[in-house]
Amino acid sequence: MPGFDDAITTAAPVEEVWKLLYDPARFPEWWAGMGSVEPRPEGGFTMYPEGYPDFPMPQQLRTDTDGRRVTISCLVSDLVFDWRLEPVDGGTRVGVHAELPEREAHRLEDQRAAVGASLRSLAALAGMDAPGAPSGPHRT
Amino acid sequence: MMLRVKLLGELQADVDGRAVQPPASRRAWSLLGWLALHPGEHPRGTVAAQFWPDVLDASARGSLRNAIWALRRALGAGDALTAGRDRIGLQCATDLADFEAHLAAGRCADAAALCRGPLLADLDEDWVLEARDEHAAKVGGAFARLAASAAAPADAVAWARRRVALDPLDEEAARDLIRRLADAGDRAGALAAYDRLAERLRAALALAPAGETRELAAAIRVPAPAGAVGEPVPVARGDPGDEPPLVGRTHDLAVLVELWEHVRAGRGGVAVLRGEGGIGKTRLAAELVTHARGHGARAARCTAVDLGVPPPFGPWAELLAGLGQELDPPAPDAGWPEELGRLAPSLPRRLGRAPAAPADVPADLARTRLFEAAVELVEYATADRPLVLVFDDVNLAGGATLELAAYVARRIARLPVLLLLTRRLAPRRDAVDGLLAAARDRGVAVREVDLDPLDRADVERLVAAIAALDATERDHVIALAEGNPLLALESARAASRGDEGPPSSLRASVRTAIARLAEPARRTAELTAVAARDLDRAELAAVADAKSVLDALECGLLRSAAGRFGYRHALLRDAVYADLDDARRLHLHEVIGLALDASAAEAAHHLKAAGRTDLAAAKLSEAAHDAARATASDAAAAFLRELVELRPDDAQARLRLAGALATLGRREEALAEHRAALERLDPGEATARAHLLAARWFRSSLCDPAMTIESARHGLDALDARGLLEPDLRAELLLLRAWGEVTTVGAPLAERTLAELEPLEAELVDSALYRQDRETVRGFVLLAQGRLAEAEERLLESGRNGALAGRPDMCYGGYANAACVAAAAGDIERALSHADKGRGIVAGLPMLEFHMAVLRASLLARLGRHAEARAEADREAELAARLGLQRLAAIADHDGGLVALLAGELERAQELLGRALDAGSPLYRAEARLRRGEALARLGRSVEAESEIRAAVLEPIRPADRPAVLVARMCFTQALVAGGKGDAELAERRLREAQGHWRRIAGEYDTSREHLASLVDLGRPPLTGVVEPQRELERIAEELLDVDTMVRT
Repeated sequence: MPGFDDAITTAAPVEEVWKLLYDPARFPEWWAGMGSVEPRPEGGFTMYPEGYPDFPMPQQLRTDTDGRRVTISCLVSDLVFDWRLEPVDGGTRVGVHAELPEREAHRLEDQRAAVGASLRSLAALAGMDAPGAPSGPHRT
Repeated sequence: MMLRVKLLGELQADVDGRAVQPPASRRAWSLLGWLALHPGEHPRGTVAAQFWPDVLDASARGSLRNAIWALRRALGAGDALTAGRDRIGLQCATDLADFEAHLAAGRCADAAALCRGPLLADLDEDWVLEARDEHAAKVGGAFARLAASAAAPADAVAWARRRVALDPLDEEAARDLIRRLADAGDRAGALAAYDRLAERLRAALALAPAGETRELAAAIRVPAPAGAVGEPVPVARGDPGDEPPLVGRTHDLAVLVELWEHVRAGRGGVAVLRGEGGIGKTRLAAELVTHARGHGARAARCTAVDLGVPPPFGPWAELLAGLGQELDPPAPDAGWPEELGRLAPSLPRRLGRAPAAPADVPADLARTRLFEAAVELVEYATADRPLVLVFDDVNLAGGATLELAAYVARRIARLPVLLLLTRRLAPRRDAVDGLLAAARDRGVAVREVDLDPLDRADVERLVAAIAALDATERDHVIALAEGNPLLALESARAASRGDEGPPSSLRASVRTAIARLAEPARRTAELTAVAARDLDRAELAAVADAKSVLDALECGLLRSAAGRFGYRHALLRDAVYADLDDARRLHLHEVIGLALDASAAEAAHHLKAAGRTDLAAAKLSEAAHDAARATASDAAAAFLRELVELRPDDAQARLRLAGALATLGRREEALAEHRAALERLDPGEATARAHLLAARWFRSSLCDPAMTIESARHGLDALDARGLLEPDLRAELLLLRAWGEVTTVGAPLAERTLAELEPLEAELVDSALYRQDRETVRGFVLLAQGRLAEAEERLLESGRNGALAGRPDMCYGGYANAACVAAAAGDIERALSHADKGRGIVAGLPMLEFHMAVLRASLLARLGRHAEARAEADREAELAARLGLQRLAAIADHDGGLVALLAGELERAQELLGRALDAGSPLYRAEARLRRGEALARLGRSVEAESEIRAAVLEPIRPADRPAVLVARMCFTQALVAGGKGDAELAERRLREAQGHWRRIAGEYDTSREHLASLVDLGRPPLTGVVEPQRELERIAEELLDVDTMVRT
């Protein structure tokens, strides 16, 4: 199955990154290509990619942990994104592992670029939410 | 004033040395003897029935009052005689107690010196005769030991004569005398003693002496070989009493006696004796039991045996049967005899009850009710005297046996009960260690005694007590034994039999002993080895005739005591078994398997070992049924697994196995068996019923609503494919489907499914169970539709029908669900009222009592009745401890922590929540950490609060944890931390974040669905998992005011 890994270290505490990953309503603030998110009546969310307003993508979150590192698996339609958060000295290491189905292999490089940009946005946004960061507008 | 009663000989009493004159009433004097013989207090009714059994109770009690009055006058002033409204007792010292104490301490001569004559020699009631026989046996044992340890042959003869005088028909005592006389060189006297015995047996019983006795006499008649003149005749001496002498265990016995004194004072104790096989664990336990009985204790024992998959609670069945013989029938309203009939079918009958069919409740509830019944039995058995329960070889015991033992152990802190366990060093049994830890945790005294090998001097004493060996033989025996008493005994016996040199091993010794037996006796000995346990008279009679049994005893490896026949030690039995060739072993297993009917599991084991798979399969099926009845689902699954292996094409067996596995939560295995069964079933009704079973599992133990729907649909399809109506089956499938639909898909689909029920209802057999189920599902559908009042009424009706069906679990479920709906509607008082409807129903079912306490704690906390809420949380903790379930203990701590947080008891809140988290239980862990963080932040412990926030991030999150709620709570706790650090700006920012999250949650919040999820999610205690966004927003508003104040100042 095609896939890739990427990572970044941010000065933001792990809980600020975690809050963003567990707040799908804020996904459009940092996830490149994410147009909007709506809650589903039976639980979970539906994502609408930018440019595809009529193409809902059900999304599920699940967290696994080994006590030192937490992996938040985000199943968007049939794409898997594993976001790995690990507290490190002075901040958080944020890693991502993405897997695409074979039929989407041709989009691998596009996804790599989008996820890389998302990772940087996520780190920056978490930094803004951290204590001591300048107070700014928050989409909640 | 000190009352002293002499029971050994004619009854005498004195008060501070002044002789008590017997009253004119003979019964009153006899009553003194009875009370002195039976220490402790006794119900007046029991005593009256003992002395005046043939008159009405009122009349008997009147006569008892007169006798007490006469006795009180005879004894004079003082408080020795305690006669309350319900109970009477006597506080006194007795020579019998002194006798028992001397005996237990090995001071046989001191014990013997107290014996002035037969026990209560001047009384002749039935109870006296029984007690006299029991005492005489002990005196005989003491005389035997004294004879064995006497330095001079003449002294040995004197003690042996005294022993014979106790019971002139006691053939074993007579043989001992004959041997002693021969040892002393008095062959003529020995043969005369034999002749007197033969004459007494002929005259009194029309019997000839046993073969062993005849052979002994014959050996004495044969002139001694040349060169051996003056040497002792090397004849087998047999047991000096019921047990071999206890040597080298003074310190170990003292440890046990000290614990026993603790127990006598009314506090529970557990002792475990550990050591290698044959080291003397059972012997030491028997010594302690003798000691305890001397102080008036009741005692019962049981032994675990190695039978592959052991019968669940097998040792308990033996223990209960024995204890039942010592108990008077309890009051008619005591339900424990019938309940314990699940384990020991004979117990209700022994206690005057008819065997009752077990109640149809889920296995986990039935098990706790069963365990509670065992505790009630122990409480009853200790109402008037202490109790010793001996569990031999717990290293072989099954999980269920140890689980129940642990359950009882946790409850005896304030009961005079001693649990005495023996175990070998290997294999390691964590369950035994868990039992000891659980007992310690509950304040029960625990002693662990490791039995080491005996030193040379002790082994020498032991050998000397058993056989007269020359120095070379004795040294060889001692060296061979390496400190193991059993090896020493068997080697000494073998040497004294004149075997060719001391045996090289225990197995060799046993082989030689068995080889001496004629075929019928040998077969009896071997059958007993194959049986792997002692046999009672009826079982023995089924496999052997009396002569072969008597002859088998002559090999010295077996013993007959207390109505049971078996090997003197398991190692001897194992050695005989190991020596059997395959063909003979198979044959003997079949004989035993067909003869034993006490336990289907046991019979199945033997028949399977015999290769009789046809017969074994039937017994395995029966064993699985018995195990399920005894609430041992794991054992039931194991038996069914064996059955399926024997009958792989038996679809019903596979379905039963799948059901047992599903009950245990072993989903994948259950589904594999279910699929295998479906492949073997005819389509149509049988297939539909198989799908019905699966749907039930998915609704209950496997808890998967989506799979419930799928299984129910398959079942309905199977009926439709064959055009079958089967209204009852179809109705249950429809209800299961509707339940799954309302909990996963939504109310409209479930409503349509319920509509399909209506045309069927005229065809259905009316049953409260069906109505209960229907009303539950209807209630859920109404709840999902937001029609709370109607839902509440349906759920109450469900509870009422649960009561009518005799199902406390369903009754409680209905009322608890109705309470949750009332709470959802905002009427907490009414919710509490519904919850209280179930309180009486759950009594005696600790698991349901626990859930009831959880519900009440939550409701009371929401009403602000914090003290009562705390009491319920404490009750949760007590019940969790009683059940010994760590998972429940963690829930209790968790709930207690939340209640404390609501009550503002912050230190207690953080402590309890911390303990719940430390237990590692799968609570809502992330949320619990955030709540604890809140308590810590409010306590000003910001660093610790931040650690909890960080730890919450690293907890696993499931959808049921509702991540959006966690994010909102995290922001709130972060705000408290920031406020605690004086950072008003950050505090306000976090509060605004939290406010935004809660507003969004409130906008998306579906009260009905939230509460329905709470009812359906079996892992979530009612209500505690329900969030209330408006309350959270109010809390945030209050904090914002505080922050505003902080900024202004």
